[in-house]
Amino acid sequence: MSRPKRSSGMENHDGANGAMIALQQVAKTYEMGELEVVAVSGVDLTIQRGEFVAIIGPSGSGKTTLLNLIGCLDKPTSGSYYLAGQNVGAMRDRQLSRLRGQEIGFVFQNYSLLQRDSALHNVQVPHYYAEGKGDRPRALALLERVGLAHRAKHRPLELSGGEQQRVAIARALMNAPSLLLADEPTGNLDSKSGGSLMDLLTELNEKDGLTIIMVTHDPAVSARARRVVSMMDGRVQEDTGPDPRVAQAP
Amino acid sequence: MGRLINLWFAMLGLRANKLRSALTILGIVIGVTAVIMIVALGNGLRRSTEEQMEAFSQGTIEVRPSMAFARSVAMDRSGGTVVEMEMMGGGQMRMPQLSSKDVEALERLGTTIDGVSPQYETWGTMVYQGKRLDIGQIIGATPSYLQVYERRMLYGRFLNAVDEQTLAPVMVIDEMASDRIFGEGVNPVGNEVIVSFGQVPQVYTIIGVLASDGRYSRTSYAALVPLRTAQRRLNNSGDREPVSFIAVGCESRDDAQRQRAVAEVNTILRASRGIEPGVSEDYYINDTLAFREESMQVIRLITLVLSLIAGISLAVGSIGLMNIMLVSVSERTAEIGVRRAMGAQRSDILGHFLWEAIMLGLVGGVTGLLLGSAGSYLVGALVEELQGKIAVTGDIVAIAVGVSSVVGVAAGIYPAWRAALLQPTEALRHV
Repeated sequence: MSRPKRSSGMENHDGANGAMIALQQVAKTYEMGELEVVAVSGVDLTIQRGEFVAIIGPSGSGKTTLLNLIGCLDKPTSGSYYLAGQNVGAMRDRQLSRLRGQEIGFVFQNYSLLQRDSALHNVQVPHYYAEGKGDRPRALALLERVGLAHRAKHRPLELSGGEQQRVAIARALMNAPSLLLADEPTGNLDSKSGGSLMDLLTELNEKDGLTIIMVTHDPAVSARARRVVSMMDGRVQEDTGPDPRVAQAP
Repeated sequence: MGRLINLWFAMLGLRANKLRSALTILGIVIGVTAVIMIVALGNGLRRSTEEQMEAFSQGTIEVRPSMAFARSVAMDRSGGTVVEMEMMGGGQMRMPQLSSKDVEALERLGTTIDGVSPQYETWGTMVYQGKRLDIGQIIGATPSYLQVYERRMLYGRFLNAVDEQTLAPVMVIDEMASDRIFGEGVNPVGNEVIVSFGQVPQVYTIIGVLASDGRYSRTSYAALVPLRTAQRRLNNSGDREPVSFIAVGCESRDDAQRQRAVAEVNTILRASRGIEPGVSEDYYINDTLAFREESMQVIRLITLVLSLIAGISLAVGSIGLMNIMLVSVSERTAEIGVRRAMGAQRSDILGHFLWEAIMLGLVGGVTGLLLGSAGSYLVGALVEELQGKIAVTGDIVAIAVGVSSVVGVAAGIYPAWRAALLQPTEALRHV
């Protein structure tokens, strides 16, 4: 599924240490009326290109907030975040949107497909936003890759949970991102569908070299990752360390 | 509005909610239909009234004697007739009279007017072959009548100077009266009718028929005879040369020019009647088209008020549209979050929802335009007075399309703006 990168290609612009993701003393606080809620604080995290990372931790430990920050859906309150050498904290909405659309693929727990549109249209959406065209042949090829070519015209409600999550993955891959973020991707799936979804993610990481970061609280799922970061009370409590395969990035 | 792709997303969004979209559109349709129909019918009514008034008034300026502002004792030095006016006390009250001297002055001095037609209105019973005719009024008129009223002859000739000098017993009638009395298409020239006035029946020969302009006019059911004939033979007023009114021709339809003509007539008459400065006139000048202007203003006002009421229903429709857009935005918060994650910019989300509102407004506007036009033409076809007067003109179309797209933007901008400002993480929390 590799594909020539656009000029914004991140391979050439990685940070000084070559890391894809570099978080330094990142904190995120929310104001809820008078209260200030600290969701994430003092997080230092470096992730290399090609890693497969699971972020685990109990509810409220800040793992989803961290994933949102990494996904440029939100900006840190303090600290710095470099994605492929670019300072995310300094970016405007337009640049953040472009980054999300073209370099990051998202997979959500509840699939988050547009219910009224076909699987094919759902897969096309990111390309519409990126280039206004929808690249139908590529969308069909991606559906075939996730084993759903025969379901292209079906609407989400006509598909099983596992199938919907595969459509979501095809959608996430539409603009050939270098980073895939998944928030509890197997959370709503039975163990069989969950297992085959994990097979797909593993394949994408190993064969295509896709960097994957996923949030989960299922030990069976986190066991499939090559690196596990556990969160507690908004801080990184434990990190198994960089994947030896990619640790010595050029 | 961002990129055109958002128009496509908006269309998909509306299609996904057909019933809601249709009901929202219906609100706009009703408003636009009401506005279109009222404007189109109002214009038709104005056109119809305008034509009728013009036909009736023929666009002349009329001078009639008036008691309203007469002095207690007025001397009509012009005609030599003494007019006694006792406004305060009792006693005799007589109308001031217009005279041939006034007519001559207008003819001689008028520069902005097209002819002067003094007329004497009287009444008589007319009989033809033992049958009483529908004509009641007899008008004494001079040859200038034809020019002043811009009329043409259908048969025969009009009254001429010789008729006037010889007090000839001749008569001209209108085509409408002729058709009714002598039969349609029959040339009645040469026939004799008997006019009973006082004790002695008088015989008049019909010498001509005025071509009808297809509408009711002053002469439709009146008979025209030479002015002096009427003054001598059909007059029991006691005045020797009575003139009921003087019609002054004024072809121009331009308000300023008509006002100049009225002012000139007034100046000439004040001089010829010797009215001192500061003293009010003993006649009044009526521009028959000024009356039309007033009526037109009333109709315009009524149309305006009705349009405002129709506008209220359009406003209600657009508030409904705005409400639906707000509901739609909060219902689709999760979708907005997902779209933002897929790379949609703020301007894309703004464009998406704004296009939805604009399309609802425009579809409503165009449907309302079609329905309103159809309704207007239907009413126009059913109501005789409005036949051929209804026109849904370019400006009405422009107003309908313009207003409905403005409504779409106005009702959509706030909800779309709210959607665009949603934080992606906040929106995704609704997933």
